[in-house]
Amino acid sequence: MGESILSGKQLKKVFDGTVAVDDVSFAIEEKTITAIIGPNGAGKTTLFNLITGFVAPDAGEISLQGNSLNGTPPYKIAQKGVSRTFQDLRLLRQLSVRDNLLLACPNQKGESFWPALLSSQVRKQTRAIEAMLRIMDFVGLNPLMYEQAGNLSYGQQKLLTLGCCLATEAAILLLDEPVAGVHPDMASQILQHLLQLKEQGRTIVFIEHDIEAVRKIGERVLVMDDGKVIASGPKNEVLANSQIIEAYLT
Amino acid sequence: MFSQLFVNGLIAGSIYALVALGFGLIYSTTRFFHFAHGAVYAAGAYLTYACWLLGLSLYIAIPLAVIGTAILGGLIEIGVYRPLRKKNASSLILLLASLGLFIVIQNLISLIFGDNTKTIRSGAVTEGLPIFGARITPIQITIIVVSGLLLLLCWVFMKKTKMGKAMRAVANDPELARVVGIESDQVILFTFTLGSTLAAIGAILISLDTDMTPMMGFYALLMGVVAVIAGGIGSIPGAALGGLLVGMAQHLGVWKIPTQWQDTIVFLILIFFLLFRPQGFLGRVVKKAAV
Amino acid sequence: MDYILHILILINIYIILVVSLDLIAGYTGMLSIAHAAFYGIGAYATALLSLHFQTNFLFNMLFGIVGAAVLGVIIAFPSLRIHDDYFVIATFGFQMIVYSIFNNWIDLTRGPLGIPGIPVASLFGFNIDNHWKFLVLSAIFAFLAYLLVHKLVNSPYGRVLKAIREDEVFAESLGKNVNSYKIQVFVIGGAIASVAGNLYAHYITFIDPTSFTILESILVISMVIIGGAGSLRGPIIGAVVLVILPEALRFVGLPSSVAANLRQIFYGSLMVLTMLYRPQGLIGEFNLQK
Repeated sequence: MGESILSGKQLKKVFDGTVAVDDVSFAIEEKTITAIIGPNGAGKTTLFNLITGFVAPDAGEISLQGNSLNGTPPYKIAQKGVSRTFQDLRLLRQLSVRDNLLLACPNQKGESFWPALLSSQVRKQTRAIEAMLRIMDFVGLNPLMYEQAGNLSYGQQKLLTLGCCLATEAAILLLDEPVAGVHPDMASQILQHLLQLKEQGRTIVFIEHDIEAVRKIGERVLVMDDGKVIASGPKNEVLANSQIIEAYLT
Repeated sequence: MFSQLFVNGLIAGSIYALVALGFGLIYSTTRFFHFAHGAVYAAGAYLTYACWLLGLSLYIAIPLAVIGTAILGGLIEIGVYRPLRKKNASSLILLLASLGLFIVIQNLISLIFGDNTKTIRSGAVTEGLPIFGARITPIQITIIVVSGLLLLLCWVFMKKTKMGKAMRAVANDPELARVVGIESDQVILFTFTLGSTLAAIGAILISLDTDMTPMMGFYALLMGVVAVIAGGIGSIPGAALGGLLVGMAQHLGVWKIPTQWQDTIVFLILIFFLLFRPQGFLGRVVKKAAV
Repeated sequence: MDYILHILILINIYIILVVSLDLIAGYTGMLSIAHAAFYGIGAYATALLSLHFQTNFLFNMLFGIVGAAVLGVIIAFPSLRIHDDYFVIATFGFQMIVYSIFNNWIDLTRGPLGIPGIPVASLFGFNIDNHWKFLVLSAIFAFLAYLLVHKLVNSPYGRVLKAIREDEVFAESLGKNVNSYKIQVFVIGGAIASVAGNLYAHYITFIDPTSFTILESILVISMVIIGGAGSLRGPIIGAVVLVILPEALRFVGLPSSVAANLRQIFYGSLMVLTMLYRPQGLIGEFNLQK
C-alpha cells in the first residue's frame, strides 16, 4: 500500500451560514487515482479550494507528506507540488497556448526582476521551452501552439489546463471535472492521459459527475453529499453500494 | 467651542450624507463608481444660479434646477452608461467613462460661469440663533432638517414602494431581478434620476449657506465617497452614519489637529475602512474574487 | 522654436509617466489614479535636496526613486487586501493624502506657495541650462524608461504580469506569488515616475502642489487608456496626442483660463468617446472588457 501523501482531518468550512464542508477527513495515497463524486453543492470544489489554500478552513487540518498546509498561501502550496484545474476552466485566454504552458513551468529565473532585465541568457528560457514542447506533444496540442487560448474548443482548452498542471511538475494533480462537457472521443483521450500520468508516478484526484469516467480510471472513490463524506473506499466497493448511488443520483 | 464644532460637523455631515446616499444607490444598482456624480452635484447649484441670474426668484429657480439636474443625471445614464452596459463593458470602463464625464462637466461649469465664487444668497449674513452654546442660522437648520427628511423618505421609499423594492432587487441580484420581470434599465434610470436629485438638493442647500465654486462638486464627491464606504454601500442608514462620521471627523478633528489637516483625516478614515472593514458600518460584506 | 522644444520636453516627461503607469495598469491590470503622487515625490525630493543641500541631479534622482519606492510599498501592501473594485478608490485615497501632505506640510514644502529657484540640472560638470540640452537629457531618460519597461514586459516576468492581469487566481495556482509581483510593479512604476518628477523640477525650476493633483493622475491614466493600455506604444501615442492637440488651442488666441478648461474638456471627452467606441484605445491590444 502506498503512503498517504495528502490528507485532511476534520475539515470544516462555513459560508454565510451554509456549511459547505462538514467534518471531512480523507487520505490520498501516492500514485493512485481517486475520484470524488457527489451531487452539486456537495462541497467537492470547496474541498479542492481548502486543499489548495484558496479558502481557509474554519476547523481541521490539511497535510502534505506529513506537513501541515494550514495557513500556507496558494502559490506556495502549488510550489510544493499540488496543482489543480478549476471547474470554470480558468485559463489565460488572451495569451497563446505556448505562453500558457510556459507560464506554468516552475523555477524560471526570467520571472524575477533583475534576471529579466539584465540577463539575455535567462530570457531564452531554454529549459522551459523544452518542457513545454514535451507537454504539448503529450496532450497533442502542437498544431495550436501559437493559437490564442481563447480560440480553442472547450475540449482543447481542457487539455490545455491539464497541460498546465503537468507543466508545473507537480506530483499531485487535483482536476475539477476534467471531462465534463467534452466530446466522448476527447474524454477518452483525456482519461488515457490520466492513466499514463499515474503510470509515470503522479497522484491524481479528480471530481466528476460522469460515473463512466470514474469506472474507467478511478481506483478509489470518495462520495460527498451535503458537505460530508458519506462513503470512501476502493471503486468497486463504493460503486456497488446501491445506497450510495441512490443518494448520489437524488 | 465643542458644541459649535459639533454643529458644524452635523451640517457638513448632512450634506455628505445626501451625496453618499445618491452615490451609494447608484453603485448598488449598477456596480460601478459614478464619479461624475460630483459634477452633477455642482451642476445643481449652478443651474440654480443661472436661473436666478435670469431673474427668476429662488422659489422657482430651485425646483427648476433640481429637475434640470435630475434630467442631466438621466441623460448621462442614457447617453453613456447604458450603451456601455449593452456592450457588456466592465466596471472599469464605466468608471473611466465616468471620470471623463466628470472632467467635462466640471470644466463646462468653470468655462461658463468662471472660477470665482458665486452666490445665490440674498439675505444679510446673520449671526445665527444660539442653541446649546453654538450658533446656527436658519438655513443651516434647514440643511439638517431637509437632509434628515430626505434620508427618511428614501428609506421608506425603498421599503414600501414598488420601485424601491425593484431597486433593492436589482442591487441584490440583477439576473434574478430580470427573471422576475423587473426592467433593470428602467430601475437604473430611476436610480440615476433620484441620486442626481438628492445631489442637486444638497448642492443648493450648501450654496445657500456658503456659496458655490466649480470645485465644490469635486470636493463633495471626495467626502461622499468616504462617507459611502464608511457607512456601507447600499444602506440608507449607512449613508447617514457615514456622512455624519465624515462631517464630524472633519470638524471635530480641528479641535486637536491643525485645520489644514482636516481633509487628510478623512482620507485616512477611507484607507482604514477599505483595509479593515470594506463593507463599512452597515453595508454588505464585499469578498475578493471568488474561486 | 523654444516653444516647440518645450512641447517636446513635456512629451518626454509624459512618456516616462505613461510607460511606468502602463506597467502597473496596462500590463498588470491595476488601475491606479495615484501616479501623480509618485511624480510629485520625485519633484519635491529634487527641489528640497538641491535647494537645502546643493546635491546634484543624479543624487536627487536616486533619492526620489527611493522615496517613491517606499511610497509604492505603502500603497501597494494594504491594497492587496482590498477587493478589486475598491482598489481604485484606495489609490485615490492615497493620492489625496500625498497631495495634502505637499499642500499642508508648510514647514517642509512651503505648501501652496511652492518651491521656486530650483537649480539647473548639472551632470558630470555640464549644466543643462537651455532648452536644447534639456531636450537631450529628457529624451535620454524617456528612452531609458521605455527600454526598461519594454524589456521587463517582454520577458517571462512580463508574462506573469499579464497572467495576473487576466486571472490572478490562475496565476497563483501555478505557483506565482501574485502579491509580491503586485508590490514590485507598484514600486518599479512609481520609481520611474519619480524620475519624471525630478526632470520636471529641474526644467521648470519651480514646483507647487497643483502640478501633482488627482487631476494630473487622471490625465496620465487617460493617456494610457486612450493610447491603448498594455502596449507601451499606445500610451506613448496617447501622451503625444494629449500634450500636442490641446496646445493647438493656444494658437486660437484664447485667454489662458479658457484654454485650460477647453484642454480638460478635450481630454475628458476623448476619454468618454474612447470608452464608448474604442475601449482598447488607439493601438488597442489589450481589451479592458469583461
